[in-house]
Amino acid sequence: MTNRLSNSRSTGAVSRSLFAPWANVDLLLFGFAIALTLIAGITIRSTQNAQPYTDWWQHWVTGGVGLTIALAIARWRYENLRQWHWIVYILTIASLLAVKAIGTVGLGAQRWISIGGFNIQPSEFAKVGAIITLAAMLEGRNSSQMPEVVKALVTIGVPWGLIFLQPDLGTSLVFGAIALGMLYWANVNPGWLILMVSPLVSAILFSLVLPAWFVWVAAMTVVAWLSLPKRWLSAAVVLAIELVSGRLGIMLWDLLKDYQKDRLILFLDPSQDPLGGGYHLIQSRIAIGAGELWGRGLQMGTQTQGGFIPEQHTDFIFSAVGEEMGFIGCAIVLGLFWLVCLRLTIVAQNAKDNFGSLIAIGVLSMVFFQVTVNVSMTIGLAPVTGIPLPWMSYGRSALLTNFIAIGLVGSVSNFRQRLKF
Amino acid sequence: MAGEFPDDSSSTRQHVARSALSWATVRASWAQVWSSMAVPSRWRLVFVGLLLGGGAIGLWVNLARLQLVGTPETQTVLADRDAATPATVARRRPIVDRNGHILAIDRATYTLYAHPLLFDDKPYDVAERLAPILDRPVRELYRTLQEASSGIRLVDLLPESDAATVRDLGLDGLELVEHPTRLYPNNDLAADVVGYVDFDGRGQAGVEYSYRDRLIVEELATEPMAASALDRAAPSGPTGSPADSQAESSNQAREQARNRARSLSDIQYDERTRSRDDLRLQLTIDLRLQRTARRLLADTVRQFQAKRGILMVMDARDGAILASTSYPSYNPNAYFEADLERFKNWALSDIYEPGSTFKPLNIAIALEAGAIRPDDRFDDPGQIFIGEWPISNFDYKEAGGRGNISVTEILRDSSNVGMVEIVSEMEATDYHDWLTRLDVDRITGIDLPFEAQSQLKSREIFDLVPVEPATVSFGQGLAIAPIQLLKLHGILASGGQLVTPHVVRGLIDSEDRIVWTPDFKPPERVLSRASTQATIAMMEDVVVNGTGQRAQIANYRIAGKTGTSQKIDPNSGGYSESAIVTSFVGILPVEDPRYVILAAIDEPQTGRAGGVVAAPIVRQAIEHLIAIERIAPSAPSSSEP
Repeated sequence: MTNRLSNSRSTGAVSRSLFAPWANVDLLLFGFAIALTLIAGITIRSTQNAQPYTDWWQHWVTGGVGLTIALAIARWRYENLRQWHWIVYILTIASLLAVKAIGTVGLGAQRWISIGGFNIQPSEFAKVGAIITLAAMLEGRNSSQMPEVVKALVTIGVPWGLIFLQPDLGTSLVFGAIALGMLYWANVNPGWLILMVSPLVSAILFSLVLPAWFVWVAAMTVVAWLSLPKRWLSAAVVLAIELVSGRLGIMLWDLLKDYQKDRLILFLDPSQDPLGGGYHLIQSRIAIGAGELWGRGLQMGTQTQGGFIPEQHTDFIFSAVGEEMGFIGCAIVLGLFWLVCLRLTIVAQNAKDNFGSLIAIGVLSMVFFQVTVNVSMTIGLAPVTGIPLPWMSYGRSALLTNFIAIGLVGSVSNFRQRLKF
Repeated sequence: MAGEFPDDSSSTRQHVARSALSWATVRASWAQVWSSMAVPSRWRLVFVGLLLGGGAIGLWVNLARLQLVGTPETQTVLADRDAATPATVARRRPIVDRNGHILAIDRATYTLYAHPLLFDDKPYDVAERLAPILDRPVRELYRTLQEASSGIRLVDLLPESDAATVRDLGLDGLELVEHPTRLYPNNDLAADVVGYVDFDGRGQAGVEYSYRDRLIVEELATEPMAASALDRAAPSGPTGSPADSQAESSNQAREQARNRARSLSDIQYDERTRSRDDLRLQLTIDLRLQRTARRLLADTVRQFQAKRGILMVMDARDGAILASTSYPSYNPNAYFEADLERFKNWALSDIYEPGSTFKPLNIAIALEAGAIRPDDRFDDPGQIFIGEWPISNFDYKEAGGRGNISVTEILRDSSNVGMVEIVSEMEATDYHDWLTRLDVDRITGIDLPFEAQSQLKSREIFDLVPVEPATVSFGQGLAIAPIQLLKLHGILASGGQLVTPHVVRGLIDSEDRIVWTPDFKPPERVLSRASTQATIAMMEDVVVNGTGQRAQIANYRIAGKTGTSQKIDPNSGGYSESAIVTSFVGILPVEDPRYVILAAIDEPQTGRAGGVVAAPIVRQAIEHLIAIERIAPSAPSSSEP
């Protein structure tokens, strides 16, 4: 009896020693991400009958590399990044500048650097860079005060601006989502966050529903009065900004080219331009609708196999899932994403310090925003913006970025116990 | 006093303090609300949870709506796609003239697609071999081949011969998709009648549009396939039998008989006929006459610097149009380059006041109604008043009154006053009834698209406003399309029959046997031969002694009437001084009238009278018509009665 006990204890000790570095890692989080990557590989394989741009197994290979990196990061103390966060920031900026200088132009934008035959998209890695930078800047006690917030916003504004100029509207939107989510988690006054997005809302409302615009402007002035220091001055400034942005919105809108306008509003009625800007939206909707409950089966979808959906293995991968695996497949994929988000929230809640908690929330913001916008786009609820579906869309940089992000969160969960001296 | 003062001030201070307190309370409570949201409490997490839950539910609900409920848009598109038939342009039957000369025919052309991913050879080699066939530089072609891995459209409208060469290369990854295009060998010669077909194979004008259902070779449904196979095996089918062929040829001989059988039109076009690919649509147009007419018209329009012109020839016995041309026109082979305005055939689509060319109709009506007799005489003072409206002859200022003149002279000298007097012999309402009996107020029913509706004042107006019938008596105050005028003169030429003008004879098979004929309204007698013949005799005097002398041809008796009508000035609303339509309508031969020829020149700059501008081309057209139709000369004595 004793013997057996000691035996089992010894085997336990061996296994513990082997996996000891990852003892506290959130394994479910890793599991869900791996499941998504596996499903993605199968789906990409199915899309390739029609569009053999790339080899589907590369997605799994990249996923494997990504997982290895993630596990390596997870056993390494994330707190060390605190000292390194300016280095991370500088590297991020440098890589984005490098794109500007030596980047490859493709699809009307300059997004890639070619190194050793691999195309690297620094704007993807910049997302993680931004998360680390913001987490380090916002973890302090005074971080919810105005000067700190402004400092953080200016800091993150530089890479954001570089990405926006590439131009990569999708990734710059993801940056905005990450910043908002992390600021919120850092206890920044919610009124400020509302005020930050308010000019955009004001511009949209001014053109769409004028009465609602009046209500919005008034509400924002009140919010400014309540939440900002020097309340009368701030309220007046905010009022002025809201009033101006209504008109400014129209002016900026007029600056856009027709095709750009179309791209932004066509999702409301894609049939206006079924062969142009509305094509993606219509074809993708048709494909997903065709899936019905059980899907048409792998390699069986007419839309997918017929190659009717461009970029289907990347941004529009979800339409292939929808057509070939049906509502069940979509529900499972969305469920996995939901579980990923749940685990990220739990890690954020249980982290031992604000830095770790903010990293988890930053990753959560990124994943949640990308999934929501990407899926909405494929089912015709949002305009077509180049936002990939995490772990699913084919693209090495994006997949590696997502695994690195998961690795960081893994480290946060792994080292959630305070060091006891 | 001293005690009251501080009291007062304290109450004021208290008041201020109270209001300040209340503001402070509001602020504080709000600040609490904000901070309660901001504190790292449950709230922070709850909000994140709500966002996650809301996002998930929102996406799931929308997915369920799309995938489980489905949208009509999805259903239809998928149904189309599952059918998996590549969009091909349906084959169209050739269009031929009445002698079998081709006016429109499908030409097999191909669109060449390249799918580099299926290439066995290197793309550069493929480019090298294709370049001479497509007549494009190798490098440019090679660059095109690198644009995509599949579905590169290399060239459209590749002719059959080149397609065969490409096929003979035996290269993998090249795809030839047939795309028939319509070829019009005669270019713009008969564009107004034939029309054109767009790139997607849809008829857009002329016969290509109005007979679109009969021009397309329909795919055979599965069932009648057996019947067709049977028919091929035993050529004694219903239409293939010699007896039938005989019946058909006898039909050809007796056109009137066939006209009566037209109600069978739809029965004729049965399931089997629909899918026959050896049929041709035959027109009544004679290409030889059409060519002459076009040349004459083009010369005249240019000579008088006119805006446009039309020239039409009709066989009044059944309404068959032998030639119909307008100038300027367009080339249906390059319809996409043409001015949109030219796609409409203004002989049908534009209405105008016919003027003096309408006068013979009124005389025929008055004769038929018994209001006048051919030998009646009228007093023409040159100008009369209907109520307050003066009506004068075109030459009143120079010639004054004509005195006592015959009906023939009224027509010959184109006397407006005389015409008013003739029509006045009838009740205004009766006159209106006659006009509607001749279908003046209706479309002609010609088998060409986009015909304009005539404008004729109502019966009540005719009754109430005496000047209305008076102006219509000399062809003003009503507006009709040129085709309507042709049809009305057709009544005179056919001895009083109302026939439907048409350009299509029917579908003929490879041995020129008629397989299907369109269904027109059967001829209807509206005037007696006596009235029409008397009118034609008067019209002959116009050509012999009057304004139409330039239409004379030796040994042939020709009747005619000139017309010069002022157009409405769109700016002033009144008649324009400069814009006129000058026209001439001719009928021949007088002893046995059959053909009607109408020429109308819109806005000639250098000539005004119909007798000068339009009569000469009618004469030349008639000369050619005589040759084609082999019209026998009249007795020499008849030109001088």
